[in-house]
Amino acid sequence: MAKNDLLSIENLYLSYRIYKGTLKVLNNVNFEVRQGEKVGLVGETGCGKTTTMKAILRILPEQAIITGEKISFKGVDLINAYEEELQYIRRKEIAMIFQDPTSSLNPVFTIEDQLCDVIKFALIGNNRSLKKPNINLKDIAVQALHNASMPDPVRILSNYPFQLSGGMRQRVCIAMALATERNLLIADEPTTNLDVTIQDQVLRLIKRLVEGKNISLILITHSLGIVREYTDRVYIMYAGSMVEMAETKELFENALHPYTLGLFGSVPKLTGEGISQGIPGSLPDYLNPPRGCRFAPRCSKAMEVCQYGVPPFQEIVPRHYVSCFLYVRRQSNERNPCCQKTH
Amino acid sequence: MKNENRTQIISRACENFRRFIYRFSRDPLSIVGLVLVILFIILAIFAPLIVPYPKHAEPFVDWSNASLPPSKDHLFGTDNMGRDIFSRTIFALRGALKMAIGVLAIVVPIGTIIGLVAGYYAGAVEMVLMRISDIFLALPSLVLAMAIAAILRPTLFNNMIAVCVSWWPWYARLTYGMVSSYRNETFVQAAQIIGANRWHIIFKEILPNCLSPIFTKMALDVGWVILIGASLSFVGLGEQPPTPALGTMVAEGSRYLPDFWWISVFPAIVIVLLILSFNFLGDGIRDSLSLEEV
Amino acid sequence: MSEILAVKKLTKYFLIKQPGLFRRKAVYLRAVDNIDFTVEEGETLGLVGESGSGKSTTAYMIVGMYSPTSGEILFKGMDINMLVTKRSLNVKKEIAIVFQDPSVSLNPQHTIRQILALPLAVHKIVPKSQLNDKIEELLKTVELPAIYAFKQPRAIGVGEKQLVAIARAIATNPNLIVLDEPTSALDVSVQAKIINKLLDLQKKLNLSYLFITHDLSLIRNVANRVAIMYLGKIREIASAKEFFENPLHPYTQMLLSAIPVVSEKENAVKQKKSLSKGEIPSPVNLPPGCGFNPRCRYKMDICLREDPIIREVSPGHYVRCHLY
Repeated sequence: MAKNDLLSIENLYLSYRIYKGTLKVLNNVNFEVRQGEKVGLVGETGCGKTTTMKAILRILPEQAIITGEKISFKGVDLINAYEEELQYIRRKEIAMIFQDPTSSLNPVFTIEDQLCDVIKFALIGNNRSLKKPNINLKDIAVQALHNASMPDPVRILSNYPFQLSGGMRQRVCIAMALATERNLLIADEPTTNLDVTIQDQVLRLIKRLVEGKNISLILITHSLGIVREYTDRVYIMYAGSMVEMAETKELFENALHPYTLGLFGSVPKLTGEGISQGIPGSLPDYLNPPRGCRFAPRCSKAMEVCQYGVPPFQEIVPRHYVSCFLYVRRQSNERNPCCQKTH
Repeated sequence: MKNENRTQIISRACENFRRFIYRFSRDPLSIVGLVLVILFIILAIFAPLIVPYPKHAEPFVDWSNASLPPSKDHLFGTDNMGRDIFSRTIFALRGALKMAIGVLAIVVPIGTIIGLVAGYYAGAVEMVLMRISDIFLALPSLVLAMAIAAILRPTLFNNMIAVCVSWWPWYARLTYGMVSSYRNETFVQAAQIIGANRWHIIFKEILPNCLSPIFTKMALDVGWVILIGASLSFVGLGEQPPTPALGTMVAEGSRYLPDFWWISVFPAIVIVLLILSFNFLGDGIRDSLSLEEV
Repeated sequence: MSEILAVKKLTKYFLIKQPGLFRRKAVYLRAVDNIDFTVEEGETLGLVGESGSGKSTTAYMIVGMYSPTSGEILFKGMDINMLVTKRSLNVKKEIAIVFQDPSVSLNPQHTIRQILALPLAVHKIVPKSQLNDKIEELLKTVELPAIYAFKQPRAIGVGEKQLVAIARAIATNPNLIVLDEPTSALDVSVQAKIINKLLDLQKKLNLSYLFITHDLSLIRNVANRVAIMYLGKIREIASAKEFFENPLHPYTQMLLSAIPVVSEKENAVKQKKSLSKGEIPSPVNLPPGCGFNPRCRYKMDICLREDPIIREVSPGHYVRCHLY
């Protein structure tokens, strides 16, 4: 883990116990975010992106079993942390905004109630014994809404969520997340449910806010177009592991992994050159995932070795990592990838 | 295709069943409920063969063995007429279960169909049917049953009719609520656009989606109906002696409290167990049918 | 090439129930306000817009779920301006719809076989003895294994469910299929498969599509002609090429510059960087004059007073804007 890493996940495995057996959802996830960086996490439905974020914040259901080396935030080991430490991190360090702003807000409370509640929790926490310090919550709330480009913040405070449009609700969620000082903002598909013109405004707002305060951003999305404009570095995730990572510009000019290339081909282009046939097949069955590379069954370039081992997540070109046997470098003292242990 | 047909259907049914059983078995209370219900049903059906003193359920007197406390020979003791309480209690289960099954067998189809029609047709039909059901809903089952029993002869059949009259609106309401919301579901609209007729939409599209809550309610309602049946026989309006009925036994035994406590207490405990077991079963069904999953 | 669908002055107003005891002036939600368009045989007309534009309401009126407040809907010259329950069986056979979310458009309690059998049985497409064969044939056409007939929707993936919905739509051999955001709920790789299958079927069966979406990049690759709606009115119609290379209406330009793209080539196509601003107003409280004026960068005096009429600016290219 490099010195200026804010968040670092190494070799994370996660499974769920269900009636049929175990769902091996996350399969060797490696992920890091540095201070002030905007990192994109791209993957399709069911690849495990939201699960990974929930693992960071430790808000998984009880059937989840985490094994793996480490999830560390600013040096704190999150896997084994006490609840108090986790609460502190949730209060002061990491904020998250979700895909559907309508269900993120409580419909029976005013915006003021909800916003002030979050601010109070962030500043004071649950400790009731602390004397109430001299803070005007409402002022902070107004300021937060103003920073989130809300017109007429004072009037908005007295509104209920149903009186606001989708874009405004998401801006309220952003205000809630960034009302107090944070180091990391996790945005899980924040604009998927919004109209295109509103999406544009909300993403520009998020970018402005995190750049202004040097906050790190994890932007989860299934849209390559969005990461192109709003991130510095991108991870591509498939079926529970990272298959490619590079700086944004590098990824868009020089994508390597067959899945990434398949995704690029499938995206409809504004130039009208038609859409590829997509990627054949579907996600693997997490109950009985393939022993080797999880993408191999769908890969047009699969080789025999792909069935027997999971390819390592290696740096192929400076700062460009790929997990694919097409690119694996063999060094003399390196273990034969065919024999590499899989979980 | 025919062979695949059968195996596929069987494997799909097995799949759903296994999932149901797994979820059901997570909750120990549900298992307890299920076991007890099965036990009660078997006891009720095979009562004459299982019970130590089957003759005691008919007109029978044995003064020499009257009011004996619980012992090896008489598990629950004997009552003031010398009849074995254990045997009579098991026989009394029959009346209780008969009433529950009888009431539900009438109320569920009628209530459901009325609810389906009211929910789908909306407008005037909906208003009329729902207001009628509101009127019947306002009738208290117990009081109504007492009134009817007082006017006509108190028999199991009359009690059943009385409860049916006041019970059907619950199922009408339940179904009506579900149908009103399913009516606007996309798959119903799709069927309408394809050109399916009303009956297909009501019975083939909407109804299959309503069954789970109905079944759950049925399981829970058995307990309620048994309680009403026991209450009616407690006040003397149930099956007349010498036919054993749980409520009647509790009532008769209450005169001898607290000295000969076993005459009242054991039938009362059985009433409680009977209702509880159906409640546990009903809760278990509801929880395992709900679609919550990881 | 004949006209399969023609829509003239189509309007749908919803009456908003006013709370309170005293009757106030009736408030209408103008979901669709006086639109005209046609769909030719074998072509795809793209109907594009954001939320509140009225595109879904239009689709619902065409299939008969809503009854228009005024205007005409002509299918192959026949007037079908009525609710689906009143339409003839023949018309219902010829118009099909594919909804956005197959998880709710397919009955979760039915098997795929039951789902596909319904249109076949209602319109007596094949005799009962050949029903199973026809279902197998339909599944083969959308490249799903025959075994799926006995599965329930919850057992298959969402992309496959949508393929079942498409199979259901083509079961009666319709002329027109209304596609209401058919791939918006799908991942991009699944979307690619579905779109290619739709285009393939269109060629094979000579289908006409009314393709409704908010995704401009998608429509660029699917539609022959594109119409864009905003607040219940059509603002621009043109051939796909014209629409994207020469967008005239300010709303079209705003939308085009807001789309995220994946390559520099596309960025060049985005042209005028017209920054999005403002919220989409509610169709209940419409600003007077042109509905787009609160957000329009070219706003003039006349835009606040008069609603522009739609004009043909160049052959086949119509715009509703005072600039032209």
